[in-house]
Amino acid sequence: MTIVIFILVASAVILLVLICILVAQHFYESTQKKSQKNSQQDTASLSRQAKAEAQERFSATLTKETLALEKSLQAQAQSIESTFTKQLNDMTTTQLKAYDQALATVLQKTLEQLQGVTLKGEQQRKVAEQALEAEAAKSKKAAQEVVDKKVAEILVSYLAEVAGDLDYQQQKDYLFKSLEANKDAIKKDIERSV
Amino acid sequence: MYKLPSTIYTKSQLRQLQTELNQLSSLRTAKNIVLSANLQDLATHNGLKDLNTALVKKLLTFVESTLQKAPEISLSLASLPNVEERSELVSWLRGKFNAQLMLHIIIQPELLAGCMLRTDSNVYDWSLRTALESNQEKLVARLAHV
Repeated sequence: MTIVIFILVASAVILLVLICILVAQHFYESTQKKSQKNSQQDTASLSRQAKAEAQERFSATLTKETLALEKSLQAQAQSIESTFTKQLNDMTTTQLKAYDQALATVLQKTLEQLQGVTLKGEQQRKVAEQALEAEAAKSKKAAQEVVDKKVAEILVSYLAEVAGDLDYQQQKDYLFKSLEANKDAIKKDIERSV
Repeated sequence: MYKLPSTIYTKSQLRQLQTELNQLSSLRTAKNIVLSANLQDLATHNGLKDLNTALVKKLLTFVESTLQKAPEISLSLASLPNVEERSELVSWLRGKFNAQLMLHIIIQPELLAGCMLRTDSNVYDWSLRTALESNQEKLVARLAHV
């Protein structure tokens, strides 16, 4: 009996122990679960918090860096702009000077060429003008000669018509005058023929 | 030596006179014979009144001699002179050149005025036409200055 009791007690003890173990296990697990749950809750919370903080910090840092970057960029932009403007001004001024010089040179050459062309043109114009004047004078003279000749012919014709009305009496003086003027020559001719 | 009247100045007149005088010389007398105007002029000009045979022969000799020896010139005129003018011209020419000078007058209206005189060796042109034509250049030159 004893054995049985013992066995029974041992069995009870074992069972108790087992129950205790089970309870302890259950408690542990419960605790563990709870703890785990809490831990998980804390972790999530922490994580969220950390994330939020991190985001906040990131945002702040980002904002800060962005501002800094912006400032830097602005400064660089200003620097670049001023540098670019300065270089552009310098370059433009230099180029403009070179352009002005080149333009002045081209203008000078063009003017010289134009003066040369003008001089040559003037000389050619003078030559052409002289030739034209000579030709015009020649043509005028020829035309004048033709006109004068025609007028002379008309005058001769007119005089011929007028003279046609002259009778001997009107010509007598001229006739005797002509004969008298050539008296010696006529006399010699007559003497030769005798 | 007889003289030619200024009305007789052509050789054709002399030939007519020669013919007439030849006819008269064959007659015994020239009485009652009507003489030509030229013969009358010749006789009058030389103071011959009654032409007998001897005078006729003398005149014939004179005429024939004149026909042979008398110099002749041709005178071209633009217009015809009348009898008095011709007579004046012949007298003037004979007084200046030769007393027996014969004249052949040619009328050439194309001369316009003045005359052309031809001797045996020369031609003298004093016509207005030639003067105008030869001086046309001078006329042109003068017109150029008008």
